[in-house]
Amino acid sequence: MAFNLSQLNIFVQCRKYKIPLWQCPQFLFAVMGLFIMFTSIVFYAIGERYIFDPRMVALVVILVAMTLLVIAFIIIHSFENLAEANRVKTEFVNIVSHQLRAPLTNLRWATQFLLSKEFQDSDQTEKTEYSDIIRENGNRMEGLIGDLLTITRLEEGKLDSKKSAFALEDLIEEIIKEYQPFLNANNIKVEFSPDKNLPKALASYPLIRIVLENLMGNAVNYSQGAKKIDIGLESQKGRIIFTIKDRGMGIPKEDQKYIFEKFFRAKNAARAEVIGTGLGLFIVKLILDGMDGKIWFTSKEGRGSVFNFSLPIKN
Amino acid sequence: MKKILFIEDEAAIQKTLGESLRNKGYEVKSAMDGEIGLRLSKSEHPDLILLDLNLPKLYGLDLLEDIRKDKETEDIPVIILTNLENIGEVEKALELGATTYLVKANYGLEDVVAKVEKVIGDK
Repeated sequence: MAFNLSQLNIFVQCRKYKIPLWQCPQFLFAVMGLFIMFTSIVFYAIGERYIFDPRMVALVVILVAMTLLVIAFIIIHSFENLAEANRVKTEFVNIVSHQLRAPLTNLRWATQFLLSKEFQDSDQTEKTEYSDIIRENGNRMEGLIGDLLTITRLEEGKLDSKKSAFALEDLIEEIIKEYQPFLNANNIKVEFSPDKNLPKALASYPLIRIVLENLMGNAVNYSQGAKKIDIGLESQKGRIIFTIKDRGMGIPKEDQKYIFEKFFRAKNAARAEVIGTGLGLFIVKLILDGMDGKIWFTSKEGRGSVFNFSLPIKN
Repeated sequence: MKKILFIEDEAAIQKTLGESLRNKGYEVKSAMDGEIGLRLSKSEHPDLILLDLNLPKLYGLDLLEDIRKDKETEDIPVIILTNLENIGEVEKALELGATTYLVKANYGLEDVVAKVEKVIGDK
């Protein structure tokens, strides 16, 4: 790495790591240096004055040594944090490349098969099947990249997270309308029954839209032939509570504790070939955690799932 | 007719590679998860097993270990076909007696078919 002057500016360096100043090794080193210089001078003065009382000098030495130990400990800890952040990043890149490779291989192989000699005399149904593989995997990659961008922007705070007071029931109505063609295609009826005179929710409108779209999408995708989804909205103890209930495949008990993790997909979902990136609920939780929201669920395999979230209200 | 057991949970891969192998005159049995794969490897006596690693129910390398422990199946050549590409998995697979380890993204459909033909031919 070439040396340039900005490397001497610790504030620029620390900003690059995106961590608070008191966790930044460069900054802590500077603090330690200044502390050593300062105490050396003070020492000199004290030493001169208390020359007849060595116990006093020893006490000061012990205090200084202890302080230096504490600072050194914090520095080591901050290096550990940086190393951990680096490890998480590498792991993330590994998972993402693996996740992107799967649809990419499917696309490549399906195309190669379509172009092969043996394929020329296959019938129309078979041709449609391969076009479907190509279309589905294209969508899968697009979904994955979209979700990854959302996560990166959320983590960098680049998505509009400004809170405002809005009527959650109106937003829900809007999303149901938006999903209507999708619902019709899956032969699903949504029943939305909000309580009367609900208070306004205090949250970021565009981010809650992402939350609702994800939960709605999941309810439809995992309905697996069930015909009805119920959505409720009520106010309780100064919060507004959203409920969405499907009667689909549900989440196996052993998978339930992982469902908010990045790239986790329940085993029965993967088996039933429900297309998903494994990022939807991670995004939902990331958003809600960032705005004093809470999410919880109950689910039974083969019976369906109920997802709830709560948001603060405008007083 | 030579028989291939293809253990892979991606339907699209089952379709494209499975069909290409059938077109070459092989009999291809499909398993969509590790448990079914293990069962079929014992009951079908395949001439070759194509094995993915990230499988539902039973991880590919555990399946390989089981196959190698059983007298009936210990000699069946196994080609690992996966998108996992870390040295640890590769080493472990070869240690457990995988014939070869292919990373899907690095090979075209025809290259994989050619590898399968070579391994079955060498048998």
